[in-house]
Amino acid sequence: MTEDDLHDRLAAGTAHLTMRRPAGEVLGRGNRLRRRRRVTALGSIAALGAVGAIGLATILPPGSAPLTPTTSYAAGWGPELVNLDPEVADDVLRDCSSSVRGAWDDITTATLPSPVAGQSRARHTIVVYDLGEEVVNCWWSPPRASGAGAEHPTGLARERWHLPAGRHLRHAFMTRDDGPQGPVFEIAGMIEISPSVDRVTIEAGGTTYEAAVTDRVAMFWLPEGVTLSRSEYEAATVTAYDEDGEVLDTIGIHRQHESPPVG
Amino acid sequence: MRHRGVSDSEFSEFYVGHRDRCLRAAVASGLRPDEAEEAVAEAFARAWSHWGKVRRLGAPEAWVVRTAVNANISWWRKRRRESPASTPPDEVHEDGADRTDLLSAVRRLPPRQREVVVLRYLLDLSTEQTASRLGIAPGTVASQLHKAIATLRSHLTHSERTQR
Repeated sequence: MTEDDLHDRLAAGTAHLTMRRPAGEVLGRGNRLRRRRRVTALGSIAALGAVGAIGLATILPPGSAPLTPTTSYAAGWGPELVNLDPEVADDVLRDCSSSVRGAWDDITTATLPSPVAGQSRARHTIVVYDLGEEVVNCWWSPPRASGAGAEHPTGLARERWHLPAGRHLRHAFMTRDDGPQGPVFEIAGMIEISPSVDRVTIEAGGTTYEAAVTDRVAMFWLPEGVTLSRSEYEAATVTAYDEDGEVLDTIGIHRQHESPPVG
Repeated sequence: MRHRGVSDSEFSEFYVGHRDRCLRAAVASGLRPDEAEEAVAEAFARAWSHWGKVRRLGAPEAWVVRTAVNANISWWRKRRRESPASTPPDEVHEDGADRTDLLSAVRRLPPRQREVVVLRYLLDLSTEQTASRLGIAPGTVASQLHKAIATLRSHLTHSERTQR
């Protein structure tokens, strides 16, 4: 039997299997699923807001749009993920763009797209550029007091998208502030996710945080003021769920503590 | 109706153009024909509910089939917890006549070989698309296909002999 034989025989052997369900029924069911998901998202955010100090106002930087369960929050790179404080937005985008183009010759003004995500916490801002096959992150801080150390630090990282087969989560970028063995704070991350992922949570220090989920990544930045002990940080996890709430995958928030795939 | 900037006519076109192939692929992947239509319809509905991102995949029809098969397995797992005697679809014992046909032989292939056959010949994906979908090299697709054909030839030859 050749490949052509196999193709022909499979076509003949399955020709009796036909699907007669009208497209309208499928569309209707899909619309109901989407509505149900929005209601669930609303409930999650309401529950999150009820957890005392962990209000949405503290999760998002001042001046940013709240993560309301709009369609662009649930999926797709949307303007809501670019939540730059207007006071620093121009400086951030100018400096990050300049730094990126200065760091890599193959990235030019023409090829550098608009950022797909950008948020600030205190003095720090993260900006993300999706280059298609690759992703670039820029960490920005405002200029220090004038004088010898007036230059502001801008950190850059670039890597390819590469979610391992069988996995639904992968660390793309992580950032944190900490001392050698002391507490950990200002924890932010970008997790590459599979198309099956509908929701991503961060479990850290006994609290669950919702990440913003887009087509390709989940972004999170633990609320200002949240500080984890070293052991809490090393035990913290990232969990992906499908649209039915089933766990798809779990990894440690700490890169060295990835778990085996679920299922 | 529009959803995330695309009209439902785009999805309807995708559905009508791929539903039979997805059904056949789902059956070849292990679903029973009597339950496959429901599972595939549900998977298409989920595709529409996530159309903004599913439409950007290289082969949305492969996503539909995978979702149909996974959803069905999840359903069977839940049911098995409730009723230990239930039999999952990939363990269905078919009668002697079915065992001889090519579709049954495909269902008994090792998972990777079966996936390659389903994607290449039932969903008509290219070697490159199949490789991308499975996260393997195009050369591996060719080698798995070669092994699958050898396995199927062996199965069918054996079946034909035992029928004589």
